[in-house]
Amino acid sequence: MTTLQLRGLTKAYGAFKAVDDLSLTLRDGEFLSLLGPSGCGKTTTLRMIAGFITPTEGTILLDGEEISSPSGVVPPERRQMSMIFQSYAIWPNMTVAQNVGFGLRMKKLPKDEIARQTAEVLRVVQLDHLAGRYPAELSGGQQQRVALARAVALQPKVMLLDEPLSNLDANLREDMRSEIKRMHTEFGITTVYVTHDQAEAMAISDRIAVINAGRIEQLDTPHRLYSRPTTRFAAEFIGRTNLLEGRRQSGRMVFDGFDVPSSGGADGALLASVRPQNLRLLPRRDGAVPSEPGMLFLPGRVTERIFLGERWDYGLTLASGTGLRAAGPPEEDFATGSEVWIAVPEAAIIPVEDEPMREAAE
Amino acid sequence: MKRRTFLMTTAAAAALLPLAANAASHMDEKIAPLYEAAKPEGEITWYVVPMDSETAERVGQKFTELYPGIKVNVVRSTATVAFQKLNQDIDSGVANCDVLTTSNVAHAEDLKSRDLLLKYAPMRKGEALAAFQGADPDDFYHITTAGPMGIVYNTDLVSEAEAPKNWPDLLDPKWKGKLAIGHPGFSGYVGIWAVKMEELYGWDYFDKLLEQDPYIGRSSIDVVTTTAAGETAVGAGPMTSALISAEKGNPMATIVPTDGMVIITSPSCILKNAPHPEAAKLFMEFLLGKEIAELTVDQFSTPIRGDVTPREGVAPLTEDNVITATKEQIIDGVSVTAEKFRDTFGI
Amino acid sequence: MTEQATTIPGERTRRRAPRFDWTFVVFALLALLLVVLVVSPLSRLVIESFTHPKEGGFTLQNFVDVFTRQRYLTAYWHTLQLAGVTVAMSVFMALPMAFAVSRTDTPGRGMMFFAVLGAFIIPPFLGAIGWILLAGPNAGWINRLWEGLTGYEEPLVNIFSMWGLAFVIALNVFPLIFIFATSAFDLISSEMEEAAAIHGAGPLRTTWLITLPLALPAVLGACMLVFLETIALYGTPALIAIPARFNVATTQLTTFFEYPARIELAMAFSVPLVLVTIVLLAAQRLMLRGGTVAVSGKGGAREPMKIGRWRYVLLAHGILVMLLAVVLPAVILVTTSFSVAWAKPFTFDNMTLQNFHEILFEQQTVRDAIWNTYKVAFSGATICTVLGFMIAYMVIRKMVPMASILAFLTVSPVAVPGIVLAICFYAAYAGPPLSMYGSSLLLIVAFVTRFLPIAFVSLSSGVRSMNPELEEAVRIHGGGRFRALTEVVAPVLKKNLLGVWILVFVICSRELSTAIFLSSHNNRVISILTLDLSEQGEYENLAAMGVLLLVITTAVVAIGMRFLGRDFMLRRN
Repeated sequence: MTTLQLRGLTKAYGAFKAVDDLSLTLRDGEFLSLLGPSGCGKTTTLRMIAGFITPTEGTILLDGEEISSPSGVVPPERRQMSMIFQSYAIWPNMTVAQNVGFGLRMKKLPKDEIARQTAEVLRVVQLDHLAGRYPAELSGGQQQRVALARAVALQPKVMLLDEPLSNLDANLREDMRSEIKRMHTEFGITTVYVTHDQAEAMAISDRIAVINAGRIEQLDTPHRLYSRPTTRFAAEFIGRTNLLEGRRQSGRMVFDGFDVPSSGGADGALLASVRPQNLRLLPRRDGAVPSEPGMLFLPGRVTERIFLGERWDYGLTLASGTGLRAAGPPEEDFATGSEVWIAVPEAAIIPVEDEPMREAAE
Repeated sequence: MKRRTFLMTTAAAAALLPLAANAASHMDEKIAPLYEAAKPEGEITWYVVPMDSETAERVGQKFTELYPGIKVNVVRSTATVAFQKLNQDIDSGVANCDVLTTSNVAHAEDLKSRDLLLKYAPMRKGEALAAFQGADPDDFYHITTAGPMGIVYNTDLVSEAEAPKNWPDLLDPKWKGKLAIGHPGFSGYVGIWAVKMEELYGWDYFDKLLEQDPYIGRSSIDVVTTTAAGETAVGAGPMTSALISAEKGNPMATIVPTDGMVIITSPSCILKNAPHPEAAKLFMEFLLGKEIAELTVDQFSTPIRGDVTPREGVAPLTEDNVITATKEQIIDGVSVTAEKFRDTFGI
Repeated sequence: MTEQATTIPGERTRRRAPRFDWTFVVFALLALLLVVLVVSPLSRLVIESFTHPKEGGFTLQNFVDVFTRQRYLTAYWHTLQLAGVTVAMSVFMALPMAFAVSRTDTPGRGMMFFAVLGAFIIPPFLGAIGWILLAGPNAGWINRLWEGLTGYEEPLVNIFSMWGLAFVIALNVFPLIFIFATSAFDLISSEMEEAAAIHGAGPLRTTWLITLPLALPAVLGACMLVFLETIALYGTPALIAIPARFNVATTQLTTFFEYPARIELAMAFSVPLVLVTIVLLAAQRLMLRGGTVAVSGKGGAREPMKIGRWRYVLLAHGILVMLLAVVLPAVILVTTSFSVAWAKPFTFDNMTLQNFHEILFEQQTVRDAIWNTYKVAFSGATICTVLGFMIAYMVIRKMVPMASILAFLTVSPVAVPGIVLAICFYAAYAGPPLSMYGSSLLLIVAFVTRFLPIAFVSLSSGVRSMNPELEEAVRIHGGGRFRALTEVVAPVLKKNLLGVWILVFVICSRELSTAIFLSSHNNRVISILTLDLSEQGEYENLAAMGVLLLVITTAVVAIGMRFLGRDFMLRRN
């Protein structure tokens, strides 16, 4: 059983904190993604886990043993981890089989055992027919498979992936993503996956840590992350969203022109997120106001629309002047300038933490 | 290095076995104990000036032939370079050289005054001609070769009638651009020659020489090779080398100047810190012996012993055809003259 | 919002002791080695030049002695004159060739490439000997031919003059300008020329107005390198300048070693040479930085320019340079090596194998020197490559703090001419307590110091081009740093390593000026022996030695080209 714990991990370069007091725990066999924009500290975190970087503060524990702390790190080669690099980092001077068997060789396994295990892994990634080739003779996808095979071959305690799909073209990317998922299911290796692509993270992860400016914004399952974002950054980074400014007042969230019940929290300024997918448009011809329990119906007008094939993307304006975006099915067609009802489930309006507010509160 | 030395000596030993037996039977009985003492040292390094490198190598081989088991490392250069290298050895605390044979007695005297020489009175020191004996009354060095500087010319370019007859003839404008001399800053022969020229004809001689646009070789031997090649037509050079060159078929001849050949007597000395002192003593005996005299006389040298006759073409030394420099002249004069020469000729 | 760190119940935090970091030890050893190789010798330059030779203590007297002596000042002046003329001549030789090879449809471009490579391979002192035989004013083959054809006795060319000396040096150093100029020309996109053409400029005007100005910074930078090569050169002046009565700085330097050796004067005399070198190197760097701006971009597609009849002019120029730099000296050296007497016609009577017999079987000295040469070159190349690789790796991967100091120390010998470096090494290690004078080790150490910058710079660019993830992959998969080096970095860079090794081997096998004061008879290398034996003017034996040296060097280079592609010797890093 493998557990990996990061406790209060910080990496500072001078005054700049690339990673700032980051803590999380991976369960055995879990697939966790570190998701964030470039420069958010996700790769630094991964490299601290790998042992390439010494933390400024905090510790990393593998199965309860401290492997990184400011006073010293267990070198990468003794961490029983493996890693897939952005560049694949397939050694060009070794054949496919030599690449895959390298970790086993480092474990000083007998030769025939190395050969057996290498062949086994290569069969799983369907590269057994290329065992004797050199990487230069392989396609990008095949190289990626070699990297994958190499990483799983030594049955590591933790497997680390650093944006492994970013160098592949779109079609291959999906294939490889499911290949990675398949490997994970097959071998059940505890995995940390770094990416800036939220769709990729959503598709592959058990849990996602959204990272911004060196801190974890939210750590949750993909579904909860989408449906219940807790911070403005998480809400904006995962999918698209509408952000509404308002106030919390005597148990309700009050916005310009409407209000909904609040699940709790102190009174004061408030920011809420509502996904365009949660908004539905209805034609508004006469004065009749539709009503449904738990639903809000707001009058608005279509100011622009873009047809995206699988859906319409509408730009809307409320009477208060607030702008919103909504997604509509292709068959429901509202022309620019139409007056509409915007149907919003009250539960879909999620209060989120906002960095400036949070700082103001502290 | 070791392996190669081993191979060499084995090969040499195999080849020379019958000869060695022969040589040993002829070996001077006085020398035998010295050879026995020297043999374990196995080699000797000889810094040598007054002969060309081919002759020097042959001399070294002759020694090994006579005294099997002792290899000679021949290091031939001009007097100044040899002395410079030796002093670099000394300054560095490295003992390389066993025996130095130099054409500039000032260098031997200098080493003696710095207490760097080994006093050795060779058993054969009395065998040389009287004129070449007793150069150093304290036995730190001994004259082992003598060689004349004379006028050399290319017979293809110059007829015997046209050739210069004396030293001032070299200043004839017809030799402009066709004259070679050596550099007293390098060559001991040229150094002594220059001292004597200045004494006889004043520094004016060199000012006029400059106007001749001469080719300046570093070694006096270069004068001979350059003239033989036709690069220059006449020159002031060592007559021994010129005769060797002529024998090889080069268009080369020598002239004894009417005002005299400059005789350069070259001393040999053993370094006090010689790494192979016994072999060095043996080598000193060899340098004074008959075998080397026979060998070098064959190479047109002027013998220092009475029991070998010079080859035909080698000018006999007489009272009125030689110019000799005193030891004092050499010690005091050569470096001063060399410096003046550098200022005049710019090099 | 961050997840609370939770300790797994029932498990205490154990701590693995971090393993001892050996990289620091390696760093310390490398730093120490560089102190021995670079700091200690080079610091002698400053120390000795300001120290009173007898009493010790600070003095300016050495500089006063040097700068008040007319002959010494003349030597500097001659050196500057010589270097200026050499630069002009080499530009004239190299620039048209570089232009022809890089930009035009001139035929015979492959031949021009080999001309440059050949000129690079022939050691300067051998080229000098070749040209003494070719252009000696009276006996030189060219002048005799001239006299035979015209009847004029006045020589056509006289090698024993400043012009002759500059010419011979230029024939040896023009490849530098060629290399820099071609790589600059190669970066200029054809589109720039086409843009000029579409606006009405013909090929000549385009070249003059667009191409040449764009390449100018690189060419000027190369000119400075040629200038520096020339002022630091010893072999060629020793052979030609003395007979020509033209004293230059390097020949003057050697006279300070005559007994009594005046090391302090030699040091003081060297200081201006080092200063000039530093200034010009700095200027060259500035120049090249400007150059990369001017010829920025990916270079774009390049189409050889169609230059019509001009291509025959360029072809003729290329053939002429090849004849002068490679063919004539090589032919004269080969024929001389088989001649009884070099100045005689090369007839059957005049042919012999005696010279080769003499050097190979008669003269122990020559065999020793050949053995020494290859021993020193082999060790020097190996040490340079290994050391250069280790330092480059540490520096590029920033494995230690202050790695840039290592880099600075490693390249700093570039600023010191070889002959001055030799003096520094002589002062530092020849005497007690190490007394290394006359040992091959001293030569190897000096050569390593001198050529380490080449290995370092070249291998740095190799390491820089490698993705560090390749090494990280080794480590995360269980291999240590050392294994990453030996199993991945070195194998991946094996062509670079081999290329550097061969380059340094070739340069070591012919280096003269660094060896000059460090050689006694024990450690003489061929270059030194050639110089020593040239005193006597016996060119037949010298030519035989030179031919032997050329054959071996060419074989090594040919092997390198077979494995590394044809331009590995001339690649600019």
